Amino acid sequence: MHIQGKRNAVRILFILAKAGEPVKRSAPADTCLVVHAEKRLQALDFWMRNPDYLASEILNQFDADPTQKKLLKIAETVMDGDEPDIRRLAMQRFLFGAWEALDDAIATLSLPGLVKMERKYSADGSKIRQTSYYLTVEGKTKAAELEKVEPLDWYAKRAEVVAEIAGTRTGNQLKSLQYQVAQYNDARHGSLIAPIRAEVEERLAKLQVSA
Amino acid sequence: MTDRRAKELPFPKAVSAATGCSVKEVNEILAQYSIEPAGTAPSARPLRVVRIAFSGQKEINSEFEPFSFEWEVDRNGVWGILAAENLVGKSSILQIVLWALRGRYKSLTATVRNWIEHVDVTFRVDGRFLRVEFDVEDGEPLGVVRYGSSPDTATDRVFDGTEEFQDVMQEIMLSALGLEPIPASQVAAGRIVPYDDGWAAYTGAFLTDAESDAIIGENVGGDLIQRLLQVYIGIPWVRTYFQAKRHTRLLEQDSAARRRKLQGLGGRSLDDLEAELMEINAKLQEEGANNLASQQLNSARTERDDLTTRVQALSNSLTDAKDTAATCRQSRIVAEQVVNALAEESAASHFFGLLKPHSCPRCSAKIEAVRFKKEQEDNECSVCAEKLVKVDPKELEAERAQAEERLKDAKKTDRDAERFVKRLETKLQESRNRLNDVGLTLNQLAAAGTAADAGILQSERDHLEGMIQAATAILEAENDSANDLLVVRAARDEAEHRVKQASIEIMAEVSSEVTRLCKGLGIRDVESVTLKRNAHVDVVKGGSLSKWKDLSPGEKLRLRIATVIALSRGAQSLGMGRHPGLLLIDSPGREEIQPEHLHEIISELVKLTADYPDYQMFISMTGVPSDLDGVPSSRIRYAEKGSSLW
Repeated sequence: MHIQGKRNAVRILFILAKAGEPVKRSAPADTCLVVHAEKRLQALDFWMRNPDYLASEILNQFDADPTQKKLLKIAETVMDGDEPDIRRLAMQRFLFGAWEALDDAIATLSLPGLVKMERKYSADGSKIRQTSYYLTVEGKTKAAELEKVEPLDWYAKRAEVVAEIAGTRTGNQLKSLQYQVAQYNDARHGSLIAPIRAEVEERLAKLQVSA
Repeated sequence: MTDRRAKELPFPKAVSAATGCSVKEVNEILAQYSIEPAGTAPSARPLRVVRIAFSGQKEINSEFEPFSFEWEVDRNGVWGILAAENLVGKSSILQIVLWALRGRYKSLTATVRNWIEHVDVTFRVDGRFLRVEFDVEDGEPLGVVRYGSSPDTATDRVFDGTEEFQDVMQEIMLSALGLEPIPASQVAAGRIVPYDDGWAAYTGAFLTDAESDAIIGENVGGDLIQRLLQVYIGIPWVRTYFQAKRHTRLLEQDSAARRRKLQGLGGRSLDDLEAELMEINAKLQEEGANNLASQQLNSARTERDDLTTRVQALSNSLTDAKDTAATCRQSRIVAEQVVNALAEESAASHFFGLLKPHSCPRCSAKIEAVRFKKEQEDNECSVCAEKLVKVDPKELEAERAQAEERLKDAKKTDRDAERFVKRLETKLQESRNRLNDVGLTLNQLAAAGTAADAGILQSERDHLEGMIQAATAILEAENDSANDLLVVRAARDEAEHRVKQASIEIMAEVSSEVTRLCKGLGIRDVESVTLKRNAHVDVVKGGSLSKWKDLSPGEKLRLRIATVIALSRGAQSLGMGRHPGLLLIDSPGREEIQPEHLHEIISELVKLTADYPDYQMFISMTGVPSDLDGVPSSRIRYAEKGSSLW
C-alpha cells in the first residue's frame, strides 16, 4: 500500500479539535485548543480505537445517572452492528510508558502547521515533565473542513463522543479507569487488551430492556 | 375243579360287570398295568443238582488238614448224606449246595466257611447247564458262573463278592426257572414303592432245616410266606391278585398326591379360577384402549429417544456452524477494515497533500518558498528533498475495486454462514419443542398408569391361565386314573375272590394230606391240621386247637416236613405248582424223633420221589444207611463213627 498511516493523524486531529480545552494566555501563538499530557491523548485515542471500552464507560455513566437516556442511545450507536469490531484498531501494548507512539501522527499534523507539540522538562532537563499538544487556528479550520469529508467524518463524530464521555478527567484517571475495565473483564492478558464486546452487548441488552 | 372253572366268567368280563366299564376298556387297562387276567400259573421247570465238589483245609488245633469232597448226583430220587455222629459236616454239604445256588450262604458255620477254599457245584436248570465255581478269599466268594444249553456253549459271568454273586444268580435263575420276581411293595422314604423279591426268597422253598422257624420260606410272617406258598402250590389267580393289589396301592398313592397338588391352588375350585379368568379378560378387553395406550406409550418412548439423539446431533452441528460463522464474520470484518482503510487513507492523504508544509516537525523551522517551487517543478519533497512518489489514481482505484470485491465475497460467505446457523437454530428449537411435548405426553401416560395396569392384568391372566391349566391337567389325570383305579381295584377284588375260592379247595386237600402225613410222622394225637392260605396252621390235637408256637420243636420239624411233602405232592397232583423239584432236607431226625417215626418220615419222603419221579431230594441226617430204606447205597455218602464225610 502506498498510503502510510495518514488516518492516524486524522484521528488525532479530531481528538484535539473535540477534546481540547481552550488555551491560556501562555500558549504558543496562533493556537486555540490544547490537550495537556500525552497520557490523556493516548487514553482518548484508546477509546477512539476500542468502541467496546468506550461503550462500557458510557454505560457506567448511564448507571450512575439513569435519567440520561441519551447516553443509552449513544452506547447503542457505538455498539451498533459490527462497528466495535470494524472500528477496533488493536493496541499491541498497554503497559505504562510503553504506549503507542503518537510521534508519527503528530509529525504529520505539525508539518502543515495544524498542531504544535511542546515539551516541558524538569529543572535539570533530564525528564519530560509534560507534553502539550496544541491545535493551531489553521488546524481548527482544516479540521472543520475535513469533518465534511467522507469517510473521515466518522472520526469527527466519534471524537465528539469521546470528548463528552471523557469530560475533564486527567490522563491518569482515564488510563487507570481503562485498566480497571480490562482487569474486571479478564481482558487484560499480560500486555494485550482483549475485546469486551460480548459483555458490553449483554449489558446493553439488559439495560435496553429495563429502560 | 373243571366244573367250577366252566362256571366262571372270563376274568375281564367279571371286572367289566363290576365296574360298568366295557370289556375292551378293562382289557386295555389291565394290559397297561401288566395285570395278567390268567387263571393258571406256568408249569414248573426242573432244577437238579448234578455234581457237588469242594475243597479246602481244616484247621484243628493249629494243624492244617486239606480236604476235598466230590459227588456225582445227576439222578432224580433220594440221595442220602449220613453220619454216625454229629458234627461231621453233613449239614455243610447241603449248605454249600445252597450257597452255590443262592449266591449267599444260609447256615454255614464260620468255622467251615474259613476252611473252604474252593467250591464247584453243577446244576441242571430246565435242561440247561449251570456250573457255579468259586474260590473263597477273606470269607468272600470270587468266581464264575457258567450257563448255557451245554458246557460248550455256556457263557461266563464273573463275580467278585457276595453281592455280585447274588445278582448273577438271581438274574440267571429267575429267568431260567421262569419265575417272576415276587411283586411286592414296601414303604420306602415314606412312600410306597414297588420292589421285587428276588431269587433268594424263592430258594427258601428248597430247604427245610432245623433252623427255619416257619413253615416254608425263611422268615415268619408277612406277605412273603403267603406268596411263596401260593406260588409253589400255584393257586390260580394269585399272581393276578398280587399284581392288581400292587397297582391299586400305587394308583391310590398317585391320587393322594394329586389331591395334595390341587390343594396348592389355594383351595379354589376349577370353577372359581375360571370365573376369575373371565373377569380379567373382560377387564382387559374393556381397557382394550389400554393396548392403544401402551402402544402410544411405546411409540412416545421411541420418539423421545429419537428426538434426544436428533437434538444432540443438531446441537453439535449448530456449534460447528457457529464456529464457521464466526470465522466468516471475522473475515468479513477484516475485509471491511481493508476497504475502510483504503478509503480513509486515500482521503487523508489527499487532504494532507493539499496542505502546504509549514514548518519542520523536527526542528520547527519554517519551510522556505523555494522548497515549494522545487517540489512542484521537480517533484522533489519540500521537506526531505526525496523524490515524491505520486499515487496513480488508477492503481488506487484498482486496489479499491479489489478490496470491494473481496468484501462482497466475504459478506456473501458471512451471510450464508449466518443463514445456516439460523436454519439449524430453528430446527434445533423445533426438535427441542417436540421433545418437550413428547416428554409431557410420556408423563401424562405414566401418570394415567394405563400401560402399567394393562401389564399387571396381563400377568395376572397368564398366572390364572397357568393355574387353570395345571388344575385341569390334574383333574383330567384324576379322572383318567380314577377309571384305571376303578378297574384295577375291581380286578384285585375279583382275583382275590377267585384266589380264595381256589385256595379253599386246594388248601383243604393239602391240609388233609398234611394231616395224614403228620399222623404218620408221629405227631401225637393229631386229629387235623389245617393249613391256611396265609401260611398259618391250626392243629387240632387231643381235642384242642394248637397254634404253631404251641408245638414242640420236634413237632414243628415234623409238621414242616409233612407240609413240604404235602405241598410238593399237592402241587404235582393238582397239576399246578412251579416248584422246581429240588428238596434239601437237613437233619430230619434231630429233634426227639423216635426211630420208627423217623423211618416213617424217610419212607414218606422216598415214596414222594417214587410217586413223582421228577423230584430230587437230598436228606442229611445222623444215622446209618439202613435208615434210608429203599435208597441204594450208591446214593448215600456215609461217615462211620470216627471218620468224616470230607
